[in-house]
Amino acid sequence: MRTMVRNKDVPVRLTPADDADSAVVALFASHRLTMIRLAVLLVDDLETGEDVVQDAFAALHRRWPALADREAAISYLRSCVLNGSRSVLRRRRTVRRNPHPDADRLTVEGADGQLLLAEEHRAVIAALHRLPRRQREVIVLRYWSELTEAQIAAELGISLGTVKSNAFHGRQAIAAALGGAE
Amino acid sequence: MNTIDDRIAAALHARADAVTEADLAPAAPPSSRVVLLDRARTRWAVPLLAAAIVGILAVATVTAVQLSRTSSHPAGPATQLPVQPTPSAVAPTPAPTPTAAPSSQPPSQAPSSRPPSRPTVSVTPPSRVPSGPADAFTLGYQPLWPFGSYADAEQWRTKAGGSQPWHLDASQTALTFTRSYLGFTEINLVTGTFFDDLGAHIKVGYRDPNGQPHTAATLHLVQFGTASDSPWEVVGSDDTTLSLEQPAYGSRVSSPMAIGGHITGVDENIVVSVLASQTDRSTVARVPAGGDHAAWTTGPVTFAQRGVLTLVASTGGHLQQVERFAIHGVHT
Repeated sequence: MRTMVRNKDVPVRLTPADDADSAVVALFASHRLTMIRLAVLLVDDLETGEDVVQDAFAALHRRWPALADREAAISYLRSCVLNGSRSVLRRRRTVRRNPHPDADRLTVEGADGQLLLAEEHRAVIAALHRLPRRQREVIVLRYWSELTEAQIAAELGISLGTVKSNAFHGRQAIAAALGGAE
Repeated sequence: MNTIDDRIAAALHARADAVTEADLAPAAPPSSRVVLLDRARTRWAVPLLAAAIVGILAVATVTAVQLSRTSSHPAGPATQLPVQPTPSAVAPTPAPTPTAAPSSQPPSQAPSSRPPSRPTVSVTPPSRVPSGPADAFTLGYQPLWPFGSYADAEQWRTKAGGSQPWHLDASQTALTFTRSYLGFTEINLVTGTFFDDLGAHIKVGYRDPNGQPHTAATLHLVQFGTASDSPWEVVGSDDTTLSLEQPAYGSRVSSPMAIGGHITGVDENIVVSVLASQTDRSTVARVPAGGDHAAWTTGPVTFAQRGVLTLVASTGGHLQQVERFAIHGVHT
């Protein structure tokens, strides 16, 4: 029996004998919120984040019997969230290229998590979402998921040097948005 | 603590921590049932599965139609309801040209003071687990706009090449339905959105002269298909202070019919319209009403429209012509 711990999450104990339903239910209970938070940082929208994460758990369930290393489940989930978020952002770009005639008058009111943030935090989040996709992912995985550069490289399927380069440029851009002061 | 690294980390944690368990919509983890259905699409069992589904749908449709005759717009997905017999264009056409043909008659038959009970027969609520497109799809509601059938929706999704991508946005679909299809051009604002297992609930409204937003209606939309890029379809409205309850949602109707519901308000004048399309429409009655959850009815009214009908009740006149409205789906 092995124990997997992700960030601030409750440990989930998995054994090879765990079937897909019970294992995914346990992961769903312990990691759904964390994964949704990750998705929200990437797509900046709770409802979309929830959908992305639901897709990720569905993919994990389908994939479960073929997962050679059950400890990779969290990593697989995170990859699904990253991929799902990319798809969402790609679709948004398509929509923005073909704006709706009423788009400029379309105003969504209501509670927004960002309203609760301090001014500096809002500035950082705004700068984060102006970053190129790869830089944004690296920044989120480094500063929120607290992964090492090697782990980020493995997660995103890129080289260590690319991780360092994206982290550097992303960090620089956010610093510039904050006025350049460190 | 004030290095740029700390500041970035603090901001990301603050944004993430703003999302709590209480903010999340209820959702169930994926189950083997869903996965098995998903796998079956690619295996030899597809014909057997399709035949079984057709059989179930046939029984469920009969049951739903019978039940819907005594029910209002169901809160949850029931079973398959008829779709428009003539597929509409894949994309909605431009601005409507309403034709007023009122034949108002004195109220003669008030609906009961309590809304009819909602149907309890339902297929299992749709999982939020998306899957790929299926050969057939049960919407579970009366599709009203913009697609007349699942085939139309799939045609747009698979062949339209990304044209009119607002179909992927429930808010924009709701607003376009209100402004272009219903013709309520004064409604120009989305005042709130809510998504749950039943679909999207989009509040549309307007701003008063003081800039305050007001909600005119909450439209209920569902995705017409199981793919993640299936378009949104308007299926009804979540009624509160102005409701349409008679005839029952999804029921078969014929002319003449009485249209009614409940209203909370003072000195209201309810305009009731029947729409079969953007151009085939008529105002069938104007009903003075008011009170606290007071019943209103048009009495028997005649109409010439055929096929899937969108019944619309609207009130206004205080700040603008249309300040509240409700919609309802029936078919002839």
